[in-house]
Amino acid sequence: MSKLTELAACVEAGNVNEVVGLTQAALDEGNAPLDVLNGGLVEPINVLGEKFRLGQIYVPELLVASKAMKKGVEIVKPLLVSGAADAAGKAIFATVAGDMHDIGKNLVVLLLESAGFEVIDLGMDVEPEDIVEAIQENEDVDILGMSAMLTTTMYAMQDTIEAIEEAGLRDKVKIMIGGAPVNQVFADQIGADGYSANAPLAVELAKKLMQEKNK
Amino acid sequence: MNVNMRPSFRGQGVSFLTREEMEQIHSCTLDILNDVGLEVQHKEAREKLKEAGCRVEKKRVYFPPTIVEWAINAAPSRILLYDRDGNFSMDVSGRNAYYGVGSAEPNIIDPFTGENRLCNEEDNKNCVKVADAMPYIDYMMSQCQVYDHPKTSYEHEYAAMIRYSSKPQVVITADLESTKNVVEMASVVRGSLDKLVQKPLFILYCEPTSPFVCTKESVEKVMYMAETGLPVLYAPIPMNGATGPITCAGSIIQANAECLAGLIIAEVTKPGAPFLYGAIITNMDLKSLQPTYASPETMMESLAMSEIGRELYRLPTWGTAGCTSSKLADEQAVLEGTQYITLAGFSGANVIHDVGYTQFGLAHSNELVVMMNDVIGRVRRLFDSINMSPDYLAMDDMKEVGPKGHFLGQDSTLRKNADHWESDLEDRNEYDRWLALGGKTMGQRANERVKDIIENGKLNSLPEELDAQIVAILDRIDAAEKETMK
Ligand code: B12
Repeated sequence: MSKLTELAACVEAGNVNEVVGLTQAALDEGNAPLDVLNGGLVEPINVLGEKFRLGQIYVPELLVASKAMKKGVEIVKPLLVSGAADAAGKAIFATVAGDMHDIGKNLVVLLLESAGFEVIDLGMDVEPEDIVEAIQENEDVDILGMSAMLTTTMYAMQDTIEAIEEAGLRDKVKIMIGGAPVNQVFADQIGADGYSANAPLAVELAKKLMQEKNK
Repeated sequence: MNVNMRPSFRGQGVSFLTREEMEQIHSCTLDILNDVGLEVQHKEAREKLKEAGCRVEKKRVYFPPTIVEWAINAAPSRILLYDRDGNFSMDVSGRNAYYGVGSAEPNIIDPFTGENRLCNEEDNKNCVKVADAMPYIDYMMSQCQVYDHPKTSYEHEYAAMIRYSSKPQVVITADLESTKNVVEMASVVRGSLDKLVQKPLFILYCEPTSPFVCTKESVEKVMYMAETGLPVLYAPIPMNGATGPITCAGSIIQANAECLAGLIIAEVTKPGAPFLYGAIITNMDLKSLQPTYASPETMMESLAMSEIGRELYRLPTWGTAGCTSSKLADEQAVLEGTQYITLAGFSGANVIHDVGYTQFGLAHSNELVVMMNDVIGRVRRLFDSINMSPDYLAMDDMKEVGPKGHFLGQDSTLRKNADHWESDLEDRNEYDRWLALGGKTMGQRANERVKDIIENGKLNSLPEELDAQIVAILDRIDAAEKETMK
């Protein structure tokens, strides 16, 4: 087995301890850093991401493998020409004001990160003005993701979108929303750019929004 | 005051921890409370806790064992609840098992169309009507979230309970303000706040945020109830693998620490504050990412909590049962609901909630309520256990009948047949008669029952003049809602 294949298998199996050594070995074997990144580190995560979406594996398998991937990326990154290991996109995530449910949001964030997105997580119970401020502070942000689990807090998403409009920032970010009580109809109603029902679909949605944004 | 319970509210024999194991959980919990502590997002509470002897660093509070054990002893071991008319209704203590519906589901499975859709005010009323008609549902709990009232949904849920049912309640509220609104409505019906404190009509539902956070809103509610002298519960919902450790024992220790933190806050606010102890501990399905709600692990963990509450702490306890992760009231729902109701009853949890909770809490099913009502009836009958009094030994009957006879004409058969459990939902007909009656499944009969109650049942309404006062309060709250929604 080539060291590159071994690395991919190691990431897929989530062997966090062996990743560093194997990444180095794959480079020493003469593989180009970009090939090590894509073939040895990113590809196995894509495979697991797909398996998770299809309900074939459990989420910790994906999350532990992502941890392993990140260790390898740290080694490869300095060797790449700048831009080659750039994030798939940059997002800000928050559970909206008044809402203390954050596990769903956390899971979406974790899956986005393993799909190569950079995510700034503002936590839960985040007021509209704090979200506006975060967008202002992060010039290069592409996406805002908001989560609400209560029928009593979902309207805070609307308030937030209005605050973003008032601040003149609406064109800067694509907005995606999610959480049990919200749906596509609600997303359209409040002027969000997308809704998805679960974390794997949220990753697809984020990718789609990135394409729209980069058009 | 008559608190002599009929024995059929009590069963025993189900237990998931030995006394020694409970002691071990307790000692691990003391360690966690002292070492990890909790984030308490309420300034005044932190000050009170500090005064009582807790170590406070910024928002983090560390609870020394002496304070934990002081609070456990300070809380009463019994809560009595009275119905809408002021009659004694529930003795929440020991092994008495009471069942209630619940809770706060955003969707309903429409009994007329089968559609899974958002709840409205009409559903809210109909759910109360159905649950009120169920003889074995002992108390009400907030059921349908009223989608049309995003800010005041909980007040609408409460108003429906108090207007259309006389059963005592467990109440969910959004925050301190909505808690006060609910207390106001209940006080109107009792006659005054003092009378409500003397004869509580409801227990307030509050919860920490696992892992290890007492949110401001939840602490405010606990402190308000304690100050007022009304009963409150503080039940964590750690999900194994996500917001709690993956193991049952680990999540029990965490939940115990979180629940006791609520107890301590209540007792330092006012020593002797009535507090209901317990938790829902449920593993997350790590494929769908949803809480399982009725897995075997969920049942063991959550019922172990009520055991600890009763056996070790002598506190009244919270419980869960009659709920399901299934998407509708199908075979899986009945399987999960039945097993949980039976185990919860026999393990001796006191205030067992969530009958009818479908889709791990995202939808309500009235059909499930009706079927689970039947299961509770069966469980109550099982609680009777075997009557060993002399005339139940039936010695005379056997001597009289002897070999080759029969017992059909015995006087005892005529009289004691009434002891036996019978249901108007289950079918015991022979095949042809069952077929002639339409050849229906139990689910179909439950659905017919629900529709019949909704269409033809009589509302158990409040006297007109009290009802008008509740409506006036609700109108005032709605007007304020409109103001803030502008
Ligand atoms: C765990 C839980 C809690 C925990 C939350 C802990 C935490 N750290 O998050 C605690 C105990 C704190 C809690 C509190 C309350 N809860 Co709660 N809670 C739940 C429960 C059981 C599970 C939620 C969960 O974590 N699910 C697992 C995650 C993974 O799923 P998810 O959040 O849906 O996320 C997925 C998708 O929605 C999507 N998604 C999520 N966010 C986003 C964002 C974007 C951008 C996208 C694209 C996708 C996306 O992807 C996720 C992964 O697949 C639900 C019932 C349920 N089954 O949903 C009730 C539930 C949401 N809670 C409810 C209630 C009533 C409350 C309280 C009001 C009760 C009270 N008064 O004390 C409080 C409110 C506190 C507050 N102000 O927020 C109701 C809500 C009813 C309603 N519609 O308003 C529910 C439905 C249960 C019920 N029937 O009672 N709760």
